[in-house]
Amino acid sequence: MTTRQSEAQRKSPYTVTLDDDPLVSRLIAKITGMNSLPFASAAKLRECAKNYGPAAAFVDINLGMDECGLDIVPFLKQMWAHCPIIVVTSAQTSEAIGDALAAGADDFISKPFNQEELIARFRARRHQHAQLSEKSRIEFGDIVLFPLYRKLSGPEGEAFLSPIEQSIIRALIDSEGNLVRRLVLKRQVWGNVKVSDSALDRHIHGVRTKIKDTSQILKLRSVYGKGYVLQERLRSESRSDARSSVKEG
Amino acid sequence: MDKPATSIDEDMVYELISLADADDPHFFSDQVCLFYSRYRQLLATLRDAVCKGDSSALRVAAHSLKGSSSLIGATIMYWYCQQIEEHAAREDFSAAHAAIDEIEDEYLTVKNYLDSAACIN
Repeated sequence: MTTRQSEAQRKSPYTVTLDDDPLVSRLIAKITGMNSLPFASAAKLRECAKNYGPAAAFVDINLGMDECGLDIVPFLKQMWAHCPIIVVTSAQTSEAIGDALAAGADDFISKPFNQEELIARFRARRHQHAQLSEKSRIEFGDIVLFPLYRKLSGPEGEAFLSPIEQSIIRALIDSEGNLVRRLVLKRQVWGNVKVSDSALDRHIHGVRTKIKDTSQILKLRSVYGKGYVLQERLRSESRSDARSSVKEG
Repeated sequence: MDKPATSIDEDMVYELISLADADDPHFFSDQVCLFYSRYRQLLATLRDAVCKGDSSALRVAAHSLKGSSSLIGATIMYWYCQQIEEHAAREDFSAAHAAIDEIEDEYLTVKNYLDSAACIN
C-alpha cells in the first residue's frame, strides 16, 4: 500500500481484518463497502494498532500455529475503545462463541459468511458503539465528564471520581444549572436506600473539591435547607478567587 | 455431517460473482486465484505434517483450508478438511493421508468449475 493510498483510506471509514487467509479481508471489504486493512499476524497488528482508528475490526480465532486471535481482543478493546470487535471463525461451536465473547468481542460471525448476516451485525454493532461514544462524553460549562472512565476534566486539571461522586455530578449536570433537591439527589444516587444527610454532605464535599480542581468557572452552590446547584460562579466570586490566589502566590 | 452431494455450492459462487462491480471487475477471479495459491501452500503443509507425524500442524492446516474452501463454496473439500481435523485429533495419520489424496482429486473438479465461472484460461 502506498503512502497516498494509506492516507486516503484513513480519511474515509475503514475496517481492519486480522486473518491469515487473504480471501477474508477482500470479501469483508466488498460486503461492508469499506476498505479493509489486512493483517495476517496478531503481532504485526499489535505493533501498528496505535496508528489506526477503524470503524470495526474482524478478528479470526485461528491464525496458524503460533497465534490465537482471541489473545489480541482485550488489547484492541483497550486501544480502540469505540470500535466494535467482531470475531470470525469456521469453528461453529458454542464453546468458540463463548470464548470470543468472554475475551471481550462484541459479536461473532461464522465462515462461510452469510452476506446479509454479516452486514446486519456490522451495522448493529457500529450503531451501538456510536451511541456509547455519544454517551461517553458529557460537557457542562468548562468541564467534561467521561462516564466510562469516571473522570472529570477541565482547564484546571483532571480528577477521578468514585461511583457515588459520578452519580451526583451526573444528576447536577442533568439539571442544567437548576436546583436539585437533597431528597431528589438521594433518590437518584442511592435509589431506595436510606442515606443520612451527613453522608450526603461528605460526598458533596468530595464533589465540590473535584469541581474546584478542574473548573475555572463552575461552583457547586448549597441552597440552605433545599439542595444544590451546579452553576457558573458570579463575576465577583471569580475576582475574589483570583485576588486570593495572587495573595497566596 | 454427511459428505455433500455436489462439489460446489453454486449459490455461493453466484453471490461472489455478483460482488464484482465497476471499481473491482475482477473481484471473483482474484478471489479464485488467491484460493488456488492458498490451496497449494496448505496442501504442502498438510503433506509435510503427515510425513512428520505432527498432529497440531495437520489440524491447523486442515482448519485453514476448511475456512478458505467454505469461502469459495468448495463444499466437498470443506468436508474432507473437517475429516482431516478429526483424524488429527485421533492422530490417525493414514486416514489423514487418504483424505489428503481425496482433496487433491476433488481440487481438480473444483478448479475446473471455478476456472470456467471466472473465465480463467
